[in-house]
Amino acid sequence: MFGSDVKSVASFLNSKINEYEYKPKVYEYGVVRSCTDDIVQIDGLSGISYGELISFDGDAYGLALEMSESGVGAVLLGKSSSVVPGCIVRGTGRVANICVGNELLGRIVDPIGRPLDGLPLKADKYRPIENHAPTIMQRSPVNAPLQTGLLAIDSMIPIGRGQRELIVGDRQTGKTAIALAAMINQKKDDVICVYCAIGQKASTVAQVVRILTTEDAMSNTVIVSSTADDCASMQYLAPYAGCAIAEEFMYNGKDVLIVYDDLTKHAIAYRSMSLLLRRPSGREAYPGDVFYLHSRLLERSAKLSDELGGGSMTALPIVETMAGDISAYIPTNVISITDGQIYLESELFNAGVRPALNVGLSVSRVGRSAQRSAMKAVSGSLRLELAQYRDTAVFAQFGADIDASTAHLLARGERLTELLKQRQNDVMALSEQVAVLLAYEKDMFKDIPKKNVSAVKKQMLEYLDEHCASTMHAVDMSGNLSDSDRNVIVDAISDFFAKNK
Amino acid sequence: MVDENMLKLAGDFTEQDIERIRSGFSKMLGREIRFKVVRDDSLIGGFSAFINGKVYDASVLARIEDMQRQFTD
Repeated sequence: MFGSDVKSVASFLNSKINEYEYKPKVYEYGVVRSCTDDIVQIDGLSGISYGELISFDGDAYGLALEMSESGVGAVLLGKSSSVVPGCIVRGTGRVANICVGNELLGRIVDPIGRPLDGLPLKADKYRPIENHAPTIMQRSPVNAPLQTGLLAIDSMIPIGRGQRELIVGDRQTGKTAIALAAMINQKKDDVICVYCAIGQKASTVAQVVRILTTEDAMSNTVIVSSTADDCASMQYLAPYAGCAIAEEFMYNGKDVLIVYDDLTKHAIAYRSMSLLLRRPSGREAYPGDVFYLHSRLLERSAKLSDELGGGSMTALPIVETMAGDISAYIPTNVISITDGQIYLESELFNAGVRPALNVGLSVSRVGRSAQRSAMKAVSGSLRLELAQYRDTAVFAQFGADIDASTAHLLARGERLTELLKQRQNDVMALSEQVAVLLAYEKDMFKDIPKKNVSAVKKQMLEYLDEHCASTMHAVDMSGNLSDSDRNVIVDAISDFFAKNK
Repeated sequence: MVDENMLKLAGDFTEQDIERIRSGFSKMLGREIRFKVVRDDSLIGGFSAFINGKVYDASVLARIEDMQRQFTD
């Protein structure tokens, strides 16, 4: 801007100072009446608006959430010992906002936009944390797939760009792992990821950052973190802040994937805030608007119309259940808001089926139309077959006599289960998924012992990579599986199994 | 309490200073104003008057903050 010339710096500053015009300031103020558990009651400040950011003496900030005749109720953002009764409060005239834009890529920020990775952050653009969802006319149907790189999901519960797909399950069933795999898989598809940690352990967030960095997926990712030791108001703001960051990309025509990890803790943070604000409590002591809390957040995910640039925001909210109870309050709420759910089961997880997907209870309400035609061509009856196998397997457990066709069904099902297993952070390209399903369709694995299936699968994919790389690449690029491509891949698979008898 | 008016001044001040400010505000608002006077050196210079839920800020600190905002934005 100035070069190295000291004089020009001085003259620039001088002109700035001469330009400066002072206008005496008049603004409203209030006085802190009481301050308990991060909830501040304020006298005065009558002209403030709902959700406005207020500033206290000593560089502390709060959020006005309750207006009444007698004053204002606010929550403190961050910890501050400087807020005491008698302290002066001012409105800032703006609702809470967060810095947005490309500068945030690869960064870790807190819910009010302060960098947490120790590096300076200078963003030019801000967006309000709370924002209206796109209207009906601003949306277009979900028609492009969001590949998660997980065979079980991409084949049976496909997710489309702009969809909201809930990941629900008990603790330690691999919910975050699914979201992470999806994020890792986006680096080649040019989809921006936002990971929103709400009330997570700091060690978990650190681990997520480490995995994303080692998988080279951090450069197109933004992490918004509020850990378990942050106050309830920060945890409450985190998903809205993450959503605002994602929205900016979406309205610029980009595709975004946002992960809310997890909304159970978000509801709990909101519950503690509401109870301290003395709002009436309802079921499980959650306040009456806990449904609206999540619906207004998830409604902001959308596939925008072409006039608005055609960007999209895909949301993967995570909800934790207790002892597999998906009919609890928060899970049912979020299930009814989202366009489907991925249900993970601890029994499957402990039996070594990972991802521990319960196919019967998992659905995707819009993703099927967004599925790539190559995948559609090979995954048609997969769900049905797997469901039949699980049903039959339960009976076969009792050692009943089984006929040949049932034995065949069981053998196929066992192999399918093996094929759907995937190691953590090990994502598969579309062509690889298609090849595995083609091999399964042709019953190539029938002579392979169950325990060797995944090793053979790996060898097969390596073989295909050597012998028909161009066809595989064409499938990845076009998303279609022409008859000739299909024949080339099936022939290569047959060759592989013939050679390795 | 908000209904108690307060005048914050920085540095040394005299009774005349306060009287001048008081009469100025009384004229501006069209009614008699009474202040509780507090010395606050964090203002650096000037005064800020807290009247009926509003701050009339004529302190050097407010000026510097305002300048900072105009320069950085």
